[in-house]
Amino acid sequence: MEKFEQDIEQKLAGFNVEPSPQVWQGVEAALHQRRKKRFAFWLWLPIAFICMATTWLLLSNDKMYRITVVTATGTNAKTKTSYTTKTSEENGAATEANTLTNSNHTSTVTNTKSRQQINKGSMLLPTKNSKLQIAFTSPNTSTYQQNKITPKNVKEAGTSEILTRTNDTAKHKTAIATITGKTVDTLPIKDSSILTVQENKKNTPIKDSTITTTVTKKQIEKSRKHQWYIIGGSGISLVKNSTLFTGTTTSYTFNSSVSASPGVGSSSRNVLHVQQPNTGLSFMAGIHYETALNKHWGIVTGLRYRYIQNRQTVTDSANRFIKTETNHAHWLQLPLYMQYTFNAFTGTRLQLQAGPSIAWAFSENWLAVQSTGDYQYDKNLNNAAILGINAGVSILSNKGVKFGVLLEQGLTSIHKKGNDSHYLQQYSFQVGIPLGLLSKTKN
Amino acid sequence: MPTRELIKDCIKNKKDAQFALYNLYASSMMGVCYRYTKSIEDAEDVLQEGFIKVFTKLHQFKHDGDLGAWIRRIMVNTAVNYLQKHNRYKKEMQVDDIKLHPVSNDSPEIDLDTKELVELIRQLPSGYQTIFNLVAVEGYDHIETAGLLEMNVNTVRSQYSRARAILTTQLRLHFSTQQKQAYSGKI
Repeated sequence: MEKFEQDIEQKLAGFNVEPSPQVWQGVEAALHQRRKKRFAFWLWLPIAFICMATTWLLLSNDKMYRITVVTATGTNAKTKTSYTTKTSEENGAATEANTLTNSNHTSTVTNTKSRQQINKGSMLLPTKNSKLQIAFTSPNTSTYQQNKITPKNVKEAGTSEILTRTNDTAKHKTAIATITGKTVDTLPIKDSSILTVQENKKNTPIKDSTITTTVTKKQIEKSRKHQWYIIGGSGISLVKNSTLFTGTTTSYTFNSSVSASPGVGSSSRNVLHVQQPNTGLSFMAGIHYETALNKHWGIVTGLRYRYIQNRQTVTDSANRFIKTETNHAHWLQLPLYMQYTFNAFTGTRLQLQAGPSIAWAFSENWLAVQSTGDYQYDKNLNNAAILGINAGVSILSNKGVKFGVLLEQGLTSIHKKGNDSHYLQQYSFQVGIPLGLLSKTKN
Repeated sequence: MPTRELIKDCIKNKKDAQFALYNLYASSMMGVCYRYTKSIEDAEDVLQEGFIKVFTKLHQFKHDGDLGAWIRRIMVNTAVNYLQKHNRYKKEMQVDDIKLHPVSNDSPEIDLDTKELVELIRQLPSGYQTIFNLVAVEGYDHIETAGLLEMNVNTVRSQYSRARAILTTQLRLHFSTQQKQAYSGKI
């Protein structure tokens, strides 16, 4: 490098020019915009997950068989071959093991043809004059037993039907009456409502045999143990300065020394007052899973998306209105409730829920106080994980649909910094639809 | 020199950290942008665009080098892109090489303050200004400069010589004016 270039480089090494504050504002605004775009991209992940989970649950609901293991023994009248068949089923996937005594290849084929296959569960039924004993090895206590031929007792649905877990009450009643030979009223309607019969459309019913069964209450209760719900709702959100119900909500002016210029950073400030947020709106959608511990008690959990919006008023030092700033927050929430169910009035039940929840604020644009007392939109000024306590009451219709109200009280202040604590309180109306019902409607 | 913590916080999109880093380099980088452009508004545009790139690509920075040099490189690249993109610079960037006159390689004394020198460089046609900045100030060689500007190496070489000649002429002119003023002052 020549001396001229060296002189130039040296001369210009410390050349500085002060940029205007607008440059940082532009940088900040562009970065904020990018963050929003990135959030919009990542938002698809939980939505896609919820959609996939819902689809899977809807599609797999038909495969929830009550019958898990079937053992059949009998004698084929035509071939005089005795056989033992074990069929096990789980979620629609059947495996089969046949043990043939005195068998050869020909008789095996004949034997196979003489069997009746019920539905897609591969439950094998014997041929005429054979004896069948079907024992359920699942935890329930019911047994099926084929007695001697009593054609006069066999009704239309007959032995070609199997019990599956759906919500068709009418079919269930017919099936129970047919199979047990008793009136359905011997079982409480509310208990039987979760069982029904899936008809055998492919195979001809065996008319010269009959099956008797005992369906216990315990078994029925077992079948309604797990339930998935699609949950949706909306309500109002409040921001309070305490976790108690006595906390104030309106016209709360922060320290008079507060100077703020929302979203402007540390430059070009005017002296302004930021009022505590007014009442806002909240929307919620998600999926709940319920499991019954016993007849009354159960546990509810799930994954919910929640959108919260409210407004903050900015005034000048003389309390004159300047503008309104709108806050937005997007949460993913994991609830964990205890649920108590009891009979209310005909056909419905009342449920009380209470328990904690943890929410992850994965995106927000919320006017928050900094440690300096200034107000800014900044995700980093708010807590990302918010613990809350929930209490609710809902009515469960005889179709399994829920309607209820829920109160959520934040236990974690939404603002990370500053002297004031701000807790979200939300009241919402919610509707829950069981996935089984959606599946049936679709069919 | 910013700490690793500050850089990490910037990568985590912490606004306070980003503002601190911006404050640390804004004025020196504005100086860089100012040298490449013809107006303060254009310089600020380049600075803004450059800092957006800095914050979005900061995770690519390897801690073995100087962050200032890394940011400066981004600013220079941003400035060059800006000049190539905007019409008012675009034409001047494509200087016809054939019209160039033979140039001398003498090295006059630079008896100017920094601001005056920068203004002299900014008075050069845009193409010369850019090449002069890249070669004489940033220390890029002709091949690197040609690659950056997507030009022929010989064109870069001759344009640089031409820019240098114009500048030395200006410097001499400035020097003789100063001397005349000093002389008239003595009378």
